[in-house]
Amino acid sequence: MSFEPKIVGILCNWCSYAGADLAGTARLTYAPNLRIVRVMCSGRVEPSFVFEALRSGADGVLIAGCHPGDCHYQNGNMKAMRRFVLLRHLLAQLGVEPERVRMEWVSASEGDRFAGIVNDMTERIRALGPFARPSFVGLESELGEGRVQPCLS
Amino acid sequence: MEPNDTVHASTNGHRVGVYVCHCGTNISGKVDVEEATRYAATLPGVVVAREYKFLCSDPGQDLIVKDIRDHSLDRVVVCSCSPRMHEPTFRSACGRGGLNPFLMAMANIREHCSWVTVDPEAATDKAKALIHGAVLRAPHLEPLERHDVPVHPATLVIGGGIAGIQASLEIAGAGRPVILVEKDASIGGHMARFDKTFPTLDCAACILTPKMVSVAQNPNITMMTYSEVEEISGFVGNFKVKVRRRSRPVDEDACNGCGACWEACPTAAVPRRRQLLLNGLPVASAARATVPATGGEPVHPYQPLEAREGAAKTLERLRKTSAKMAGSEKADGECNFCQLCVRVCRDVVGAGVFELEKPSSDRSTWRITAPGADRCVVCGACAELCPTGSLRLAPSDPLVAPFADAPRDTTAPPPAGEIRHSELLLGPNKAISIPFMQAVPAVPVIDRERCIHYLTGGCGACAEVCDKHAIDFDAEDRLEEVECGSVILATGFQQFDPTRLAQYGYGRLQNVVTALEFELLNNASGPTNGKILKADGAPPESVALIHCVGSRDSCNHEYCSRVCCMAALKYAHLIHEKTGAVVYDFYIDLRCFGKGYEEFYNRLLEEGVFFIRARAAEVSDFTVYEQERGKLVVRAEDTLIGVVRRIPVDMVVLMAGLEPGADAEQVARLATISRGKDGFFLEQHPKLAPVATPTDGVFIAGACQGPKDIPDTVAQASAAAAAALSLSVRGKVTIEPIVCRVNEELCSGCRICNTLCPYTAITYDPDRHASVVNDALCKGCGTCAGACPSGAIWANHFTDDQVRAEIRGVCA
Repeated sequence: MSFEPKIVGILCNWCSYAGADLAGTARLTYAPNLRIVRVMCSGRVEPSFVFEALRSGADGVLIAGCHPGDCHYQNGNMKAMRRFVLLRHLLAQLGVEPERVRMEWVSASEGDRFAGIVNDMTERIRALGPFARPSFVGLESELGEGRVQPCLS
Repeated sequence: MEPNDTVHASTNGHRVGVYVCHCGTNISGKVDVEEATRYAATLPGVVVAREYKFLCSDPGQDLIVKDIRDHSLDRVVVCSCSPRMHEPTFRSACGRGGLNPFLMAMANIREHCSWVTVDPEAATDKAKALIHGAVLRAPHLEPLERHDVPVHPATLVIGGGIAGIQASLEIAGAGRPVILVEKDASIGGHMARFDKTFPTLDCAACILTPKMVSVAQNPNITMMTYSEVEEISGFVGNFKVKVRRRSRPVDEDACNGCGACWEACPTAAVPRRRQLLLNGLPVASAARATVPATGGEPVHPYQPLEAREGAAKTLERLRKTSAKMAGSEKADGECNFCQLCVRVCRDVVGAGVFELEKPSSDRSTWRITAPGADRCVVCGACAELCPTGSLRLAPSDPLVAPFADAPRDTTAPPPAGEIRHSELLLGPNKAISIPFMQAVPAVPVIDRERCIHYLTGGCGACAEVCDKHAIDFDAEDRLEEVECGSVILATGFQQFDPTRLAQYGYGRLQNVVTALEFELLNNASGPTNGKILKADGAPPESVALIHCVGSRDSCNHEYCSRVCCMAALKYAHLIHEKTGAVVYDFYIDLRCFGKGYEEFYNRLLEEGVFFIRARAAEVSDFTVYEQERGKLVVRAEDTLIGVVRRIPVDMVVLMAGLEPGADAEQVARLATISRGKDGFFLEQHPKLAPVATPTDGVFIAGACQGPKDIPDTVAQASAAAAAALSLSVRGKVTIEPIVCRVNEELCSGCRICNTLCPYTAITYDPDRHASVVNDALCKGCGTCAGACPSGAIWANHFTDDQVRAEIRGVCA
């Protein structure tokens, strides 16, 4: 059996989660590899959520928010993007392939776009293979919950 | 499934109940619900796991209520549809069971799983993972208390078309205050420009004007025309809105709409792109006389002049002279050296363009010259007064080519007195005017790009004749702040611009007009008094109506604009009735869906309109056959007989589709709502919540939500009014307790959160050395929590622990 990646999607409530709902109501089928976790705004996404997912067995993480300018909270998505740029540098230094963590803008009307992104991401991560968890990603569990806080804002 | 009464140690004694919904076969058709339920029962802390056909039904909810009591559940996990759909339902069920509603977690195994997955096994696995996530999240949930806030009784209605008018009247009729903001000078919107409405052929003005007047007279409605909303802040029940009251600059309270100002105004508003011709030779064209958009000094190098004292009196005198002369035999088309142009330009306009050259006493050597041509603002005052017609205002653009067989002299100006379909006006053709004669309020607006005073500093005739002293040229825009409890967006549509479809020749060929231009042409109070006329002023003998211009077209708008079929049928009837012309109707499908619409179509069939099932390919003035000479030719493949036809006609009406207004994006951002793929505002639910939006307290009505005819628009506007009223009548609204809070023990006072918060809800308290959140301003996005380096901020209901537990769960 081929490798089936596990992807965690952290989606904002107003645009991307609604877009994913629309993909469902429109019965667009896409790869079953994404598991969605809802937050109110992509600005809520802490880098530690991404680490948590990678540590817990995910092979990739998708962060999705409203298109720039469409944020329900004015500009939380832009703050998420700023944080994401730093996070990507950090992940690269930790040896995590950049394709594994991805940020996308999906509006509430873009069910087809959402399905396309999930399929594309699943394909890419399937090609990469399972995520080899480096031991230091588990640092937090050694030091205890909540002791390691990436200082990114 | 039997209750599993062993409580898992790692959940701090929490007792979780899991409920998996079949949703008929929506979920169970793909997901093995029994298997998922068995799996759920093995998860930590789960004491009871059940499946049910429809959990949202009464017995389904009762199941949860009963279990909470019987099994002392303190957490509930519902695995069904999207929380955006039924979270409130299950929260209230938990509440009935005596559990804090926020101790319920949902797993979305329908929209995110069963509906989007092909393989049943993969769907079951995915559902299990999602359930696992919700079950791990549940123990971390914290009880939260909702609180009520008062609702401001007023409603803000943005857009004064028929939708905005209807909504305002409904709300005001219930005794609640309304603030109606319209960006145009008058309310009425597109409907005010129509002459007849389909299918009853009611006169649009007869049914709309009384409504417009009642808006103006209703003491509960505050009308703000020529105004735009700049900012909406706050939240449901308590919005604060900044409205820019643009300067007309006519005082709305003082003006009584007598019309003396536009009668005094010597400036013509159309043709918009124009030139001044003296004995057929251009003096100046409008392109050179422009005012910078931001105000300030005009670009044009005129001599700065004092405001003309007595401009109105001078004008009146000159007009009398002109009228007297025009009747005399002196006015034969040749300049008679009356010098009215010299006087008006010097004494009223203040530009001093003209001079009379008299080299000798012999009149044959005299001539009017324009030494000050570079100061000309092309206002048209001289042309209006010229009794001989040797000075006249003409269009400067070779916009519409004459027919192919007419002589093509591009240097010669188009003949005077022609009808320019793209520049028809319903109001007076003056720089100070009202948009149409029934305007409400009947307070005029000055077009600053045309007004002589703004161009040269001269004239001022309107201010002089105004008994009420309502005109103050220096009046500036005002920003007004209003408060309201709800907002109704009724911003309407705009017409698709058919110049994008070059094959139809709009803007290039004379007599190719859009639907809205045709409405003005056909309007009984319009510039042609409702006569349907070609550009040369003669009635057409044959007219083609082309459907689906810009609609049902994968290159432009994929959607059907809904109203154009019926509008085209209405035009077909009116053209037939008024001119007796032969009407060819090029349609793809005729969509006559409403009450009485099909009957109207049948009537048209009997009236002898030629319906041709074809998407017109091209409109051209290229003559192949003799009978096409001097006509427009519509080329189309008649799909019912399978033949390409060439049909010569005198006039083509393009039934251009409806599209979102140019400012729809801006309005959507103001109100923080989404737009659909087509650019129209997105409703909360296409069937069950068609006027609500995801932003509480913001409702949508009319064509801003999608193309709509008048009956549907009015129905939706009433629905939006009812929604706004139900908020305002209740007087209070329950606010979700999803806000952020700061743990002062952990807060280091770095203030990163203060600058991140989009609502400036977080401030630093120097006494406590910590940041504090203002609950009334916080909307719970959690951006601060995501950034806090000390982990001192909790985002209620989306705390670190909750989200991370869920992530662990879905990965397991």
